[in-house]
Amino acid sequence: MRQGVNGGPLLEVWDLVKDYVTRDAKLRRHVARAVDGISFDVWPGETFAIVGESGSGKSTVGRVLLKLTGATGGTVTLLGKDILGLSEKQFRGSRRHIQMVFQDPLAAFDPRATIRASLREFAEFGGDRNRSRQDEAIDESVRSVGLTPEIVNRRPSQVSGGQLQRLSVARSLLVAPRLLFLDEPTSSLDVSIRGQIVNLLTTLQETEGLSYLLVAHDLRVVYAMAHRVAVMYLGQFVEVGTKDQVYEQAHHPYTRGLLEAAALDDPPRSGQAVRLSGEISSEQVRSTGCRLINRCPFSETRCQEPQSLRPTESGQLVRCWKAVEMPVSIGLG
Amino acid sequence: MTSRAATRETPTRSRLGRVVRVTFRTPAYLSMAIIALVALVGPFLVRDPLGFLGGTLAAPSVEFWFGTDQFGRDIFARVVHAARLDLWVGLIAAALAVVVGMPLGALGAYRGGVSDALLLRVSESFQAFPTLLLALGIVAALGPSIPILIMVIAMVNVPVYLRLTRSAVKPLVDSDFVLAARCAGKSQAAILRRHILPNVSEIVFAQFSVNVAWAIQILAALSFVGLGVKLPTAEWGAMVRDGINYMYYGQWWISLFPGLAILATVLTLNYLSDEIRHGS
Amino acid sequence: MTTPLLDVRNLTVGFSGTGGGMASLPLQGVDLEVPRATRMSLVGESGSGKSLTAAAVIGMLPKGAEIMSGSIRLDGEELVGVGERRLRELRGRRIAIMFQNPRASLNPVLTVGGQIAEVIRVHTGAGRRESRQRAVDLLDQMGIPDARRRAGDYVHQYSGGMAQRAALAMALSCRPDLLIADEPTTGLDATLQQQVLELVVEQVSNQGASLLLITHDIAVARRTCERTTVLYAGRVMESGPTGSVTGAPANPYTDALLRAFATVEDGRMYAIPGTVPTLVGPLAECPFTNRCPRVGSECHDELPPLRVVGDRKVACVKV
Repeated sequence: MRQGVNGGPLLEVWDLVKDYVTRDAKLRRHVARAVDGISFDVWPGETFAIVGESGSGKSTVGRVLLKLTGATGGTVTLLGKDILGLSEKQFRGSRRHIQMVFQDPLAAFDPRATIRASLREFAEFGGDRNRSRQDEAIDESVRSVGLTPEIVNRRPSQVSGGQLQRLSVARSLLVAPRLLFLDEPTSSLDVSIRGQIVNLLTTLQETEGLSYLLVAHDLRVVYAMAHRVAVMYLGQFVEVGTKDQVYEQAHHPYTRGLLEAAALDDPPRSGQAVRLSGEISSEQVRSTGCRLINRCPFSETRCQEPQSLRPTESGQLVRCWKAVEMPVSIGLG
Repeated sequence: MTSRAATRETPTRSRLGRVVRVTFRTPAYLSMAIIALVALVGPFLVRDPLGFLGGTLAAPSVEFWFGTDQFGRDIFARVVHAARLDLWVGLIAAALAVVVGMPLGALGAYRGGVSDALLLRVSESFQAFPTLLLALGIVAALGPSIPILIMVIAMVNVPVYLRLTRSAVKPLVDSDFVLAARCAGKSQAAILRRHILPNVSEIVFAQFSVNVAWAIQILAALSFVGLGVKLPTAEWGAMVRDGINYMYYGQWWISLFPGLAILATVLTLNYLSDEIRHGS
Repeated sequence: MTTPLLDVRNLTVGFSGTGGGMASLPLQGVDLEVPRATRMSLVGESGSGKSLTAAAVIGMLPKGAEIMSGSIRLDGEELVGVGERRLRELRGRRIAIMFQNPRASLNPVLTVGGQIAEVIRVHTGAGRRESRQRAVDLLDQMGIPDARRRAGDYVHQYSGGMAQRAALAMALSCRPDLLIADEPTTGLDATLQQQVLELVVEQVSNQGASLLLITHDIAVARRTCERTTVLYAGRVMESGPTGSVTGAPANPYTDALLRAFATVEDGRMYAIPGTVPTLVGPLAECPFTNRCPRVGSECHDELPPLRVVGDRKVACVKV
């Protein structure tokens, strides 16, 4: 397995904040905070997963890391280099270390270009201007995702969703990245195809030592792929731990609500089921206390105070005073 | 499913065969082909459009299909010659408008912010004037000549392309395949050229066809009020104006045939635009 | 046994291609029975024909599609070949529909309460005030907080979950015998999915109506419906009580689908190799042969018919 810098993490994110600023017809500023001070790291050969419902801000995190959108605050260190302050030109050297696989493979390919043309852009990124060598590299990477190279002569609409998602993976591999940001890589695919992509990604991680930042709402896929999991709600992490800690000893009521709703058969869980009421509302971002307060069955006055991520007895970090101080009161243990 | 079927090429059919099939599939393409043919080779086959051929104000006959005008010129020959002029002016003016408006609109949409707002405001202030009045004013100030006419017609059409391209590009800027190109380290210019402009070209070409029609109308209108091409050049609008006084005395053919030519060309170009947009 | 509420037999639907022939045959002899006051799920991947089956039942097939053969009976009344007018009548009174996008079933320029009240007024002949009140009550029953005020809102002012609740209120306002719900929770987050599904189950049972739930998620079927029908490539593979179909699947496809949902080992999920076939001509063999782990030479001999095996029906020669 390849190492990060001096045996440390590949990617370190510290207190990342992202605001979206919009202006209405009267040019008044509206600020929506999509990511609100999150910190994590990703180690070589590791899959770090962020789970959450839509509106949690989980996809924004990856887009900031790839500098597809700017950050509002915090630091991001990729292979020892602080990347947030870099210009596009300065970032170019680092860009090849971090690549992305999109949710909808059909949207991720130019509908008018052949797949080969889309792949060639990534082959060119290596700096090799020799077309036949580019073609060799394209063929090789297409074979590495289990397809025959002839397929690249077609257009995106002429191949199936599962094949196109494999090609999307092949495309990002052409620049030999260290870290792949997987943005809901299976959610536009059929159930019977989902496993094919998951297994491909797992195999690639084993053979190439790739790291993944996986963003998904499908808890089965996350269970299959992740080493560590962060649960995100309205811009904040509410629970961070190893896969087993999060799936088998979930502490935060939101995590437990998600697991209950997902109706997983395999992972055993401790504690009683949590039923969340209502739905996610960006209004809650402004509150200083727990953002789940209006949906949580255990909420009380003290939940209006600011909550910080604190370690539990079983070792994961949880943003809920009750889960840390009195787990029995919320049906744990 | 349908998109899959639509993009699949049948390898046995040649490119030329495809062009021929498309041409004959719809009246719009066929009619456009006829008009283009008339404009291209017609002038070599008909009489001199400026020559005085005797009998003035002759009604349509076997010899003079569209009759003759007050100077005894063959109206059929003049309509055919004018086709070449009107189509050229329309094409060049619309093409100029595309060449200027499309990159500006794409740039505005892609960059956003101040430059986008500025471009938008400028084009809006252009569009605040009625197109024809604006064109009239400028031509009146600069004096009529064919290059100036082309410039003016192009200029009043630039905002159309600017805004059209801008609105077509806007959703593409945040599309996943453009983000993917950014992940591949492509520059903004390369992304515009390779991914964005090809994906908006269909919309722009549909508009192009309408705009050629529009340019021809503006040219005809300017000539009709005497600010267009100089006499005795054959131009449809000028010819309509020439004959308008004779309408009262029953010599309807002088204005009617160039008028019909304008109508047929404008309708054809508009249908063609629909075809480009919905067909293919 | 009494006649089932909905009885679909040997339904074959084709899409006409250019030049008069059939371009594809997405449904090839579908049999489906929904008894009275029963919740039935129709499970399948995309391309299995599940939504097309629902569209055929409500007489709203997409352009180019037509019923080639088969029958669809609602309470004994044949719906194939019946006029648009009668179908519209049935859609208003006996069959109601919920779509994946709740905004598709609500008119954007009318208030939510107003359009539900209108349906109630037409359906029951109640006065304006009374139907208005009943619309508000219905929204309240669907768990919409502050229903009286929200009844005056337009659907775009509703969040995704609330809009789906309003769509359910709309669907139930004519007190249908059969509610067809086509992926009603697919666009929603997991925690909301659960809330909405439970509401659908509760309301349908309260009214004594039947439910035909179209879903790609066999886990959703398991929590929601008493009976399950599994569709693959335009054919019913297995149909029976949900407990036995999902607990001890008889058809290898049902088994594979369940494993694709459940099995995770060593960072790997169970995946069915290959893809769903596109149905161009009539099937001559089991459509799952190219992907089936238990395929044998006898599977290629004929298109396996749906046979009664114990408490369920299965289409597989191996069973």
